[in-house]
Amino acid sequence: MIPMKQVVKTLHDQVGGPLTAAGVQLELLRMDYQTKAPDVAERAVKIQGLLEEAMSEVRALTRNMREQP
Amino acid sequence: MPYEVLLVEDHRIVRDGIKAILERTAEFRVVGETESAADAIQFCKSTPPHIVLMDLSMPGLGGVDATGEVLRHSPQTKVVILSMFDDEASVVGSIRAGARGFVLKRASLDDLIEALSTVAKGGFYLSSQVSDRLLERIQKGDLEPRKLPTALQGLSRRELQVMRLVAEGKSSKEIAVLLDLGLQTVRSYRKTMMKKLGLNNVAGLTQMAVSAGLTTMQAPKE
Repeated sequence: MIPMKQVVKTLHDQVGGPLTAAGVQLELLRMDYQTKAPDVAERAVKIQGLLEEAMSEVRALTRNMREQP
Repeated sequence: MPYEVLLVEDHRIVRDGIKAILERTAEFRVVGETESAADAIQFCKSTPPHIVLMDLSMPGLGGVDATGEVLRHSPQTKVVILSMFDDEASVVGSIRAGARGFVLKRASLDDLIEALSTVAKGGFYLSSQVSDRLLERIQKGDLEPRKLPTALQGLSRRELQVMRLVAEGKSSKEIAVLLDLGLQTVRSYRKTMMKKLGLNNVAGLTQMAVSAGLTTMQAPKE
């Protein structure tokens, strides 16, 4: 059985880190294309929305795990 | 003149991305990047930036303790915390340590520039998700300040810092580097702290630190 603290740490480092990195790269893509190709920028925003849903889930899951006795 | 920013983040790809975002503004200039809090403290001692944008969770000294150390050496610098999580302990701890902003790591980071601008001009900034949760908890009345257990109330701020790091498995040598103190000074803090608490081993100290909520991370088992 993996200790809860280790799961929380993995979620933070191994899941949260790459999700944040992907979000930052999409932000740059959006900035690059918002004038020259607004449709590409719009797609980047949609992907950011999906990514944000995943990040919110990870946050909620971690919060619940931390609050468990 | 643009505001000088030091980036402190252990994930290089995130650091590079944030740097690229900030460099597209005329308002900010990244003057340094470090991947650890200890390096950030050294940087601020020699060339204090206007703003330190600091990740909350890093190996070694975390963002909360690092904020206190940065401000001790460079009181004019403004610290903004960047965090994946918005738990109460992190938010309140960061603000108590002197941070002027707390920005949640999100997929869009659209509030990052706003946060840095607000803080650079002397204001405070919390991401809306963070302030919403905080206000909700205040309304529910469950955000009462957590009091330290009586046994720990006689410890100084430094002793509490050392206690937390010992409980997280750090050696005296590592603590000396992290807090920029002499090895003998750390040993002396450890000795005084153990005496004050009536403890004679690290296991008891770790147990006490965890139950007091000083840390959630216990030293790895041998």
